[in-house]
Amino acid sequence: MIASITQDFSVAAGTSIYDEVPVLKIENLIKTYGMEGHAVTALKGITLTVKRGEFVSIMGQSGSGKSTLLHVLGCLHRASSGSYKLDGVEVSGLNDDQLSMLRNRKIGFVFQKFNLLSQSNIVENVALPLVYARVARAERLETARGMLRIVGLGDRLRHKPAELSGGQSQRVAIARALVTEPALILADEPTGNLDSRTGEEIMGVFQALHAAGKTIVQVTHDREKAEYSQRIIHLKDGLIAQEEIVERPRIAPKIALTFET
Amino acid sequence: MVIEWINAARIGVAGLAVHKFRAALSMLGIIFGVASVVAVIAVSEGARGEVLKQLAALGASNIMVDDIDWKSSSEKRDLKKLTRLHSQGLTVDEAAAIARSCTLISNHAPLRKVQAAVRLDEHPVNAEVVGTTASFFDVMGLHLQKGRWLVNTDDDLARRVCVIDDTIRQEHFRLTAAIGRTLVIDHEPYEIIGILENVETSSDSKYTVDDVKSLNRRIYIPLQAALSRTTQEPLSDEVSRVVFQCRAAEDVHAAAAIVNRFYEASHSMELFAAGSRDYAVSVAQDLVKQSERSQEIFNIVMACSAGISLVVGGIGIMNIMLANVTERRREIGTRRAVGATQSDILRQFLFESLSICLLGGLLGCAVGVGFTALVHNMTGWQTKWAWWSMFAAMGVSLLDGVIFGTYPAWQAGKLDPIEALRYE
Repeated sequence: MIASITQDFSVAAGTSIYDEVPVLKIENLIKTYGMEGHAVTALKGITLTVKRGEFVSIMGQSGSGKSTLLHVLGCLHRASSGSYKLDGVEVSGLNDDQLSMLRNRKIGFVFQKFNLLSQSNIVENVALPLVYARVARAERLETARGMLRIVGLGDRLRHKPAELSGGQSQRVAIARALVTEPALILADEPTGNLDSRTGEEIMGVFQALHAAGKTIVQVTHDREKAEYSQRIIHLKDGLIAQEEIVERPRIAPKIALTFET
Repeated sequence: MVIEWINAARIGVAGLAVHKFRAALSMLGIIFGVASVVAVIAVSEGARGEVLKQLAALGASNIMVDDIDWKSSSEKRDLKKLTRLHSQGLTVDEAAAIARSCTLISNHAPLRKVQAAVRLDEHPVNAEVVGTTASFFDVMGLHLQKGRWLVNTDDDLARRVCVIDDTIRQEHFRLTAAIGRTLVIDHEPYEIIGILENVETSSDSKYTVDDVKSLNRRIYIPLQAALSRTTQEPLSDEVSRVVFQCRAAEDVHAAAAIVNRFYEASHSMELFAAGSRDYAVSVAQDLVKQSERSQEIFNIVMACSAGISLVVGGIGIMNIMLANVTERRREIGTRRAVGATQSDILRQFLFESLSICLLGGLLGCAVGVGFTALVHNMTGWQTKWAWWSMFAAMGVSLLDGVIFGTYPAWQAGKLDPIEALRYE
């Protein structure tokens, strides 16, 4: 089963139109919660495409369905109906193990509360997705160290999460999101737990990643943070109310990410 | 496939470190369970060893015929007088006749216990005086430490010679040679001609059958000397015990039946009291089996309580693991988000409970060893290690981990990742 999806991935990667395959392509996505009779429709038909290398923000009031959309995009929930293609792979209809595999290989999550494992040091935290990618221990720790150097934490490799500031913790989380070289980085209120200066710094990291060609989708309720991206999707009552192109994105203080590879 | 299990094992063991104290608490049940299994088996193995030693001391193929002493009750004393008219009790000739005619029996030895004061240079010697023949040595499988055993001519001439047990030598001849010295038994001097090796028996009396207790504290004199030189009633050639040795241990019950029939015919006392006997036939194997049986009951009770504590320990682990799963939902959510499958999470928590059980089992073995030593020191019971008991206890505790760890691990695995991530 797992082997078969791996093959599907490689077919997608091997096609000549690879660059034209959007990272995200959802069509008429509907998500209904609950039983019949008491059903709540959180997403009422969303169609959205995110191309490779885009930096997109999703905004909306609470109850607008932005969390649900994030969960569906993150392959944590399955849509009730509609099509969702992630990096060319049709997600609807995959089983739980295949979704896990997809999250592991295609998506890097950045959470509001960082979600680092307190008992492990930051190298082990960054290496966590590689554990589930069945990468050997020495190799995954080496990769994780490299990733931490990229986000500027090369001098803190032995630290535990509790010994880091909020901004540093979020950088560790970003390193963890990058470690499997996913097609999509999915950030859920990445600056929600940070002060404004540190938040700006994290936006700087995102802009640097964007500059390096990564595809980023962030969910935020903060207009200012959304303006660091190129495009803002406004959600309201489970529908896309407005798509806004940011003419002149805010420029965060330049963050130097040293991509060695 | 292998790497998944290695990873799960590594994460599971690391998970223990998160709540060390809690893990230690949940381990207690397993520790005590395993410790009690190990200790109970060591104690019962020790007791089994004792039983085997006793059997060797009594002779596995021996049949013992004892004279029943009716002196204890006055009513029966009258009966004894009456029986005298019909039966001479156990006699030497009768025993020899039985041994000659029964082909299953290879050897026999009559014994006469003498209630006599023993003195060494006016010091009393605490010992049981037994008159017997040369054949007793072979029948009981005794070993000489020094000197010689009684020979036929000692018996024929009722010589005043004796052979002592090593316990007596240790008590009275620690610094001097015993052989050639004289013991005064019932006012007659007996020369010590030999010293026996002690028979290996148990040091505690808990599981010991009566016959073994008096071993190692005996003075053997020629049977004829015991019959004629001591002032004991009755003055006939009545002996207090005859030991028959069978050719093969398997035939011991058949031979005992034959011996019994002989005595039944010649000692019939149906005239006086139905079913009365002035003798008793017993088989060493049966005596030992009785004590083995009471030991078995003890073992079963202890094994049950040990088993129950293992089950209780398992429930404790399930409890702690359920608490762990609830508390670490966020971690589970995070792992799921970065690509852990349900079975990855299940494996992780299963390994966590397994490592509790493994560690608890190892500690339990150590505690069990210590506890057994304590029991040995405090009660004097013999104990014996059984490696299989450790493996069995470890196996059961690991099984515990699987049985009681699976449900919490399954709960962890099937958590909805979003619910898990939302958990504060």
